[in-house]
Amino acid sequence: MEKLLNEQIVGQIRQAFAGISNPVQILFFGSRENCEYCDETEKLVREISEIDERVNLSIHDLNDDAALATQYRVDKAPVIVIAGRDGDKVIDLGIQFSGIPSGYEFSTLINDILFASKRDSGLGTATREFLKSLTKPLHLQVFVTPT
Amino acid sequence: MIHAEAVDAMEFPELTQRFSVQGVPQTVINSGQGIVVGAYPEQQLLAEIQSALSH
Repeated sequence: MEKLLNEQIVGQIRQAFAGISNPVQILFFGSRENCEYCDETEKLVREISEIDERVNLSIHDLNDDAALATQYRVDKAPVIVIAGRDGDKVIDLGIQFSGIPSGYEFSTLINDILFASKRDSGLGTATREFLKSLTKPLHLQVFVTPT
Repeated sequence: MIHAEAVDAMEFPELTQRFSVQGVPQTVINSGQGIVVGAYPEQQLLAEIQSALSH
């Protein structure tokens, strides 16, 4: 089957992944129902994880793995959860991409993976202090389009 | 505690409709407690989040 990522892009990603410091876990959630882009998104994350062994991938189904989906606050498909990994332990960082990261959003996904690896948001002190002081969950949904 | 989600607006029309997304990026705070239209620098986005959480 033809690859989604050509050699040139794979080379660029490999170069970006050279900066990975800690292993990363990607959790893909697909669905057999009403999911136009699930197959393509799964294929995409499979190809990405094949580029670097420190980028681990697990494939899940929204319905079959409902408990895990709930744990990671996944309520639709396709969803790519980008988590940290320490040995066999998966570290939930609260980062997810809902939908297929195509076009411009593809680099967002690659950057998310690098952020997860560094375990550093790059945020300023004031933001960090505020976020640390939160006593209730904060859900931020950033709507984007691929172009 | 913090759940950061990027949502492809084209793929989830029921969500974009629910939050009246007309341009991107649009940030929805706690399912509508606050809405920030456009790309904001970190400090301003922080102020918007703080303001949304205060009501």
